[in-house]
Amino acid sequence: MSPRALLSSVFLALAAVTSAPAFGEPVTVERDSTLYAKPDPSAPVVAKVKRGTTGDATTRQGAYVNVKTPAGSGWIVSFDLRYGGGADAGVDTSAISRLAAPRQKLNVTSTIGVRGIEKEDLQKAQFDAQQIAQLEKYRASDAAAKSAAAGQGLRATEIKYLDK
Amino acid sequence: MTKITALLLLVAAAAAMGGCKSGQINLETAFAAGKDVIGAVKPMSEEDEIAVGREVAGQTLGAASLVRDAALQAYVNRVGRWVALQSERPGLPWTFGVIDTPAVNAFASPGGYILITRGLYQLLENEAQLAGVLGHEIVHVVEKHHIDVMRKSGMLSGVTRIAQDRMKNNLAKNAVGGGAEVFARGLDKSAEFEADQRGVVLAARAGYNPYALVDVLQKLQARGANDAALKLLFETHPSPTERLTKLGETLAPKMSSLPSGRQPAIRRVGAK
Repeated sequence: MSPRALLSSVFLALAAVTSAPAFGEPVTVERDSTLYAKPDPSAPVVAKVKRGTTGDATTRQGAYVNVKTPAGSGWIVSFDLRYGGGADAGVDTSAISRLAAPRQKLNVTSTIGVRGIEKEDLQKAQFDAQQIAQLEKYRASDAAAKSAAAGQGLRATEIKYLDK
Repeated sequence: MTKITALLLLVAAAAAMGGCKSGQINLETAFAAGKDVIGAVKPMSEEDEIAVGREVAGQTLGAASLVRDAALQAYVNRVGRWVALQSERPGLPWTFGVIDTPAVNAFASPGGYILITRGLYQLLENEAQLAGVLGHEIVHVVEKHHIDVMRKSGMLSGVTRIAQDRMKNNLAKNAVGGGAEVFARGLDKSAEFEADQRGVVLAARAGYNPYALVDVLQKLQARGANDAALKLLFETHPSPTERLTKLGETLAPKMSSLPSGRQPAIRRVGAK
């Protein structure tokens, strides 16, 4: 195998075991949290991190994200993180959105010239009989759904709702 | 009090309030008014719910048609049906579609009609994230969140029973009155938070990584409110930050009860 082919194979193998690109995405810790040595709450604690700590997120695994912070590198629960610089204020500098769709960098007062469905569109919308008939043709049977799930190794599990 | 007694009392009240002209009572008008009041408070039949949902979905499709990718549509229906089978209403005629707009949003119509936009679909990295999004919408249907909004806002008339398929369609059109508009109004925050929390569980029951919906909310949060494609989403939902905070508060103490789950690759739009 040539060196280039070997390098490609290694890169592809690395990409296969991670669920996000191997570059840092800026994140902010949303609440006081814990960095673990592994994506597992029983793993050794690397550091405690305070709300407001910033870092770079690389890999996601299950409920955890691997983050590099001034306090150290480790795994933190994903819902304790916020991505990007401006959150709901709309400053878009995150790598996630660059991944999601090719876009321009925004400042807080500009918007992308993409128009989606707006309130007026819904208020004026007329029933489309042809489209609803087409939609209904795509319905899956229980058998087809179960078969597809089984093909993906998905098994139904009984779990109670968390708010009960 | 029996329904008959209630109806008679309502008829009498309606007649006293507005049916009297020169001492005459229009019984037909009074009965219709009485029936409407009763229809407004009694639970809607599943048949009516499905008819209303079909109408709302049909109007939404009037705003944006289906993505022309039959394999994609079939795939989303298999995933959606699998997640819906884990809910408390597996027998509904669950129907899923990807509509062709760059907007980032999803629409859950009563009776099990669920549409997600191409803009949202293309944000998703894996099938677990799709399952999380669909799980959220399925909860809206199971809990009848949009039916409640339509009823409280007066969008639904007091239709009680639909006898024939043709009559069903006609009455549904009369009953709904601008049905797709319900998506422009938004739901109570509590309904959205419930859909997030229970949607996570539906995805987990179906074998998916339950934290994938967290990933999706973080993508929305990173995109931000100034993104035109997310305008309606931000207008009609609590902010992603607020949703992430509420979801995190629920998930944190219960992580040990959730399996890690799987996240299969997602089918891309236009894939061969």
